Amino acid sequence: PGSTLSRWFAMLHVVRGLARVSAGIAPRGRALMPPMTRALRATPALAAGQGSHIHRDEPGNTEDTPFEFTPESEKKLEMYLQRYPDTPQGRMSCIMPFLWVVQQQLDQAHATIKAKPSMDSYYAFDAPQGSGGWVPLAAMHAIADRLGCSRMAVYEVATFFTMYNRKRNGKFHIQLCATTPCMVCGAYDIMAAIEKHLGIKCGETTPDGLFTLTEVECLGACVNAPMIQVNDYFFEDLTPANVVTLLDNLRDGKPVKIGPQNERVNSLGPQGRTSLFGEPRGPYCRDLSQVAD
Amino acid sequence: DWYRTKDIVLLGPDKIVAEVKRSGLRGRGGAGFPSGLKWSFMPKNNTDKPQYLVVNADESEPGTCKDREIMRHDPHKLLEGCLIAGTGMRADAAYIYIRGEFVYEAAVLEKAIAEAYAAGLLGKNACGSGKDFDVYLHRGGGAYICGEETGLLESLEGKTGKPRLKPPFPANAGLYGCPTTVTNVETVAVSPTIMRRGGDWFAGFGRKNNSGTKLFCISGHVNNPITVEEEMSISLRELLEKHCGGVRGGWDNLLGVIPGGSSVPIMPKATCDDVLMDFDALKEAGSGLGTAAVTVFDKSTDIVAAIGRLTHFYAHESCGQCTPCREGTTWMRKIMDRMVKGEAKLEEVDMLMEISYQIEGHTICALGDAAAWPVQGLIRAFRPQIEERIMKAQAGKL
Repeated sequence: PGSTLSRWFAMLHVVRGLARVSAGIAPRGRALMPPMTRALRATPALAAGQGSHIHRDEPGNTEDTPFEFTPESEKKLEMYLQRYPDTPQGRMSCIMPFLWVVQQQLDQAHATIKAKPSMDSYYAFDAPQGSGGWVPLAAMHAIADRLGCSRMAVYEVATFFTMYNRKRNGKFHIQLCATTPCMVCGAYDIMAAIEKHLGIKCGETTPDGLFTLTEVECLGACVNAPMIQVNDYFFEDLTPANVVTLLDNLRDGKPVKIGPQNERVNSLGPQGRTSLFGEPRGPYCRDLSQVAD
Repeated sequence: DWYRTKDIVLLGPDKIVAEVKRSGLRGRGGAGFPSGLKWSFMPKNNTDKPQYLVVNADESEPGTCKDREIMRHDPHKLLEGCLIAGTGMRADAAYIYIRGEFVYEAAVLEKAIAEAYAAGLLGKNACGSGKDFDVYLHRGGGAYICGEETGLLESLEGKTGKPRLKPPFPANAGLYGCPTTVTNVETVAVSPTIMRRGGDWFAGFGRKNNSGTKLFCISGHVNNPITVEEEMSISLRELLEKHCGGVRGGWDNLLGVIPGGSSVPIMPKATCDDVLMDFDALKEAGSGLGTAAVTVFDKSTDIVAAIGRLTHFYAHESCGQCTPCREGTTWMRKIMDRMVKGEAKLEEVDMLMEISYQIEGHTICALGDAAAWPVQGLIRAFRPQIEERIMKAQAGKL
């Protein structure tokens, strides 16, 4: 009893000291310090576009929300199970593909995006590829049950990777790349144009639930800067003008041009071709019997 | 593609690796480690565990967009390369880890893999050579750290993509604990051509120890941003003038160039005037070739803000496993945010440099180095700009 009491007093002292510090008052016996503005949430995982990695129950996203895989999803799950060794570790490799299957199943927007016929008309996919969907908690539990791994294993993967949306986004998830190669080509001007046109700030969803705008890190299309990814598609070579047209066309279900929004063809520069003007020279294959050790 | 692949596979692992060694191919994923040597690290007499080739198609380095070109336009080059490189390293299967954002490229690769299986080029008795070789595609989920080889292996195994300590090296204990080699897409995709045309042909491009061709992705303030395959050791000026229409506003409007993706230090114009684009020359110049993702900045750029945005990138992409990187990248980001506005003290420039030295080399993986180098490059090359901004802010003129 004696030691418990003294422990209690010690804790009270510490708590009082902390209270003083967080209120900006100097701890007793030390010179006055400026108020500590240390953010509790300084770790990188929390600073990500997804916000908190803690699950908060919302209507439609609780442990008890029913979730079932559709027959098409079941076929995909079966296919992914075949790719990895049939061991407990191998089955854990399936967590990532299964999370993608869940997102593909819950993608509402894919059918409305019509790709304009163009040289690369095969940019369009028949089926949603997953970036327009999200992963509810119940789905994570379903995956854990299916694979026989712990739920925490699925939570870890789902919170580590930025593309698994743990909250429902708008129908069109606009992911704007603002890393330096895009930034110096005007990515923040594009962001300002989108924010002005949609009336939201980065990280928010429009009131009609159509568009969510997030800033993401390098998307790997740097020679076509600036660019955005909307659900599964890349829209590149944007200007503040053509991005507004693009968003309106997406909203109205009109045909959109995927890839570069100007006359560029893939990663070929706007000034045109500078190499590969003819066939490769020399013999395509040498005499393979002459290969030395 | 797939021309006489059976004959190449039948040459056997030793001849394939010898040819790649002769070609002088160096890893195209950023580190530039000699590929023939790397592939020869795989165990040769292992019978109890399967061996794997893992292709690193997680192209997340800012400025890099070369692997997507190979994957979406020439997927069969990659698949044939998987088979040949896999034969060279005595692998039983290959996993291609593609980043989650490359949705179209993944779809193209899935289709190409299905085509290759249907034509008997992969799978059981690949190309009729008697070797069974499977290729599987695995989609990532949006994490730069999964481009690090052990981070990639962790992610492939279904865990969070936090890198492992090396040793043990992946060639001894990699994917699922089996001998694995992780290679970049470009390195693997060029191996069939090396086998067909000869290692000496490949070594004929570029200077000694820097042989072959490289896909350069030039972005930023050029008139013709483009992805182009060029010979190694081409001079930077020739690369920009010949393929990119020159720097916006003329060569004298150049402020600096990041020659190899954001992880290498920026080079000021004085260095850019006569530097050659290859591994050794750029290392001597204080930078590095990395992934040959050339980002060009002209004089209109706010260079402090540009590198400041990179610190945001590294702070965001840090996996959080080891303290120097997790805390250091966040700390550098906060200091850079203030320096962009000029709200700093002059001593803090040296402090920032010291922080970056404390991060570099003290981390589990190379993301710490990659985060430290841009800041060091900025301070080394553009310290006057930072100091000018600080002094202006202190004088109330900003």
